Amino acid sequence: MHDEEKNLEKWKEEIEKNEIQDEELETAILEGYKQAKDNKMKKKRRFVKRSVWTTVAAAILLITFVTSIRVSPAFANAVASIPGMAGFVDTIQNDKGLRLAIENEHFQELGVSEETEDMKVTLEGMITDETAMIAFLTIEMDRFADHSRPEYRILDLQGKVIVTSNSVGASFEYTDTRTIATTEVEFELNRTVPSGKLLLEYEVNDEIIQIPFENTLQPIRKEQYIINETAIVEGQKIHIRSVTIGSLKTAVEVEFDEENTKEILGFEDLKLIDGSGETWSSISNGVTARGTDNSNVMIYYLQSNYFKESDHLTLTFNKLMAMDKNEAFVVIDTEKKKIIRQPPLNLFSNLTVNGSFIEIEMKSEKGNHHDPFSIVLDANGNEVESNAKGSMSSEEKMNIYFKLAEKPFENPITLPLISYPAYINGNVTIKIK
Amino acid sequence: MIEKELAAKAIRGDDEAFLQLMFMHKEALYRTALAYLKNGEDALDAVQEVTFRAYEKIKTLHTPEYAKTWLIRIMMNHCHDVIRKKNRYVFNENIAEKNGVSDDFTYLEVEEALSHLSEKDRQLVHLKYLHDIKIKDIADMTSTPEGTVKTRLYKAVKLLRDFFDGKGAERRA
Repeated sequence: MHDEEKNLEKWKEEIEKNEIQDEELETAILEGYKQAKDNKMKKKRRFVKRSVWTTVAAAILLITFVTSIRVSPAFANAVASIPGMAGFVDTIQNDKGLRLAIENEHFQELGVSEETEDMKVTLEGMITDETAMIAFLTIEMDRFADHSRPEYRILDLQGKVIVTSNSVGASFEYTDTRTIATTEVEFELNRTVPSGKLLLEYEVNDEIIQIPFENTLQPIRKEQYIINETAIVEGQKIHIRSVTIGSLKTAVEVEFDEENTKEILGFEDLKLIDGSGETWSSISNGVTARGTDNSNVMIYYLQSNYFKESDHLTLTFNKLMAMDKNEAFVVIDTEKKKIIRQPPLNLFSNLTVNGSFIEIEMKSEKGNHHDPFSIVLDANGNEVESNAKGSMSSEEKMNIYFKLAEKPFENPITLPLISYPAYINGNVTIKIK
Repeated sequence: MIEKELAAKAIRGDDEAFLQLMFMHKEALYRTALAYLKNGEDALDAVQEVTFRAYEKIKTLHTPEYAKTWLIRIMMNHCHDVIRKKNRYVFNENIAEKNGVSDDFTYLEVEEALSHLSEKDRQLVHLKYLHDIKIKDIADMTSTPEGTVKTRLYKAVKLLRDFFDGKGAERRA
């Protein structure tokens, strides 16, 4: 062997001496794969949870996205003609409430931006409700920078935080050097939305961008209807407490009876029907439901009919996702690497544990790929922090993966189900006005 | 054989096969990135980026048997871009610190010598000497006659030798 070949041999050995962190490497591959998937299905939106609720309530904040949208050309043109809003056509088109708000000029065009060396954030516009608002943002950033955990806040001019975002939806486009994120950020306040001058703050990797803007929209007053009626579906009692109509969404407050034998995971077809037969169904992009301090009480969100006058309004639903209370969870042991318990349909399999990195496979119905889990509880019922959560789905199954915090916890761990293909059926109609 | 089947499935759009293929070659990709970028964090970013590019381009891979070489070449091109964009001298602190500097400075010398090669030649040396890929495969993969690859590699190695000799001469002087 020549000297130079010996040198190359040594060079190779030096490189191979470096230890490889399998887990980190696999996470990097999964991230790259997710980005590519997002890019392939630009319309598929990724929602990120941001907690402003208590831990328990945040755990049952349900979030959804749509994959296919039919866009009316006239409306698309109208929205696209608002500067900076072309990228939001799909989102707005897909939500009747947002559409009506824009048609009724309850939309504030802003187009204000701020930038640093490697990113530019533009607040394109906003829509308010009585106690909530949606900000439409375009964020341009360096392709190679890590923008994985941004924070969005609204501040007053004194710099005091008024509210932190509670849901973020974004679609991404990539060029060779830049990533452009078309982002809707939803804020829910515990007071009325202030008018006048405010700041929107975007923080990522210790870098902060503040964008001053002025809210000049007319304040909204929500309309609340107290209902207090009980519906029974396959023996399960569902109390409809109230319906509150705002400009961004309609909130339906529901209490599931303590005595119910089934855990009700959600409504499949909850909707409002007005006098002319027009329907208003569930929110398709963003937060669809959330928990309250009372674990039996949930708030479900429908698209808003605030800007549509109607004398008659009815609430209807037929199908609910529900399963026996003593079966609504999966138990796994991360030391023995075993699924200890799961519901009788046996949809879960192939558990892999790689350090704190956990992956489990679930058979799923075509087109239904809701993440079945939300929180992780240890053997003592304490929440175990988890992050880097995600799932990959093919037609007939999905792989759910998450990373547990590197802190000691007691096995086995319990994963309560928040989505599972088991249903009950009925036929419920409730008059609102 | 298994690799070829996986690659073939991935080309046809099977996501799981694609991920398995990436997992299979993760070490080779990571080491390539490390050799270029000298830093574990940057190397991980590069693996993420190459996964993204590979997923977008996998349909353009015509010969599943060369999936590994194909991936490594995407990685090398990407790393080359990153270095060019950063336009800064990348010093191999990490590697030197971690392993203690060897007495004869071989690693650093080889790196320095490699940095004097054209990118094309450097890639060739990487494929052959870091990843032990056969000259015939490199030739097939790059649609270059085997003889040409051999000649180029011979010339590249000769340049390295001249560089080592030059260094040696300097030191002796």
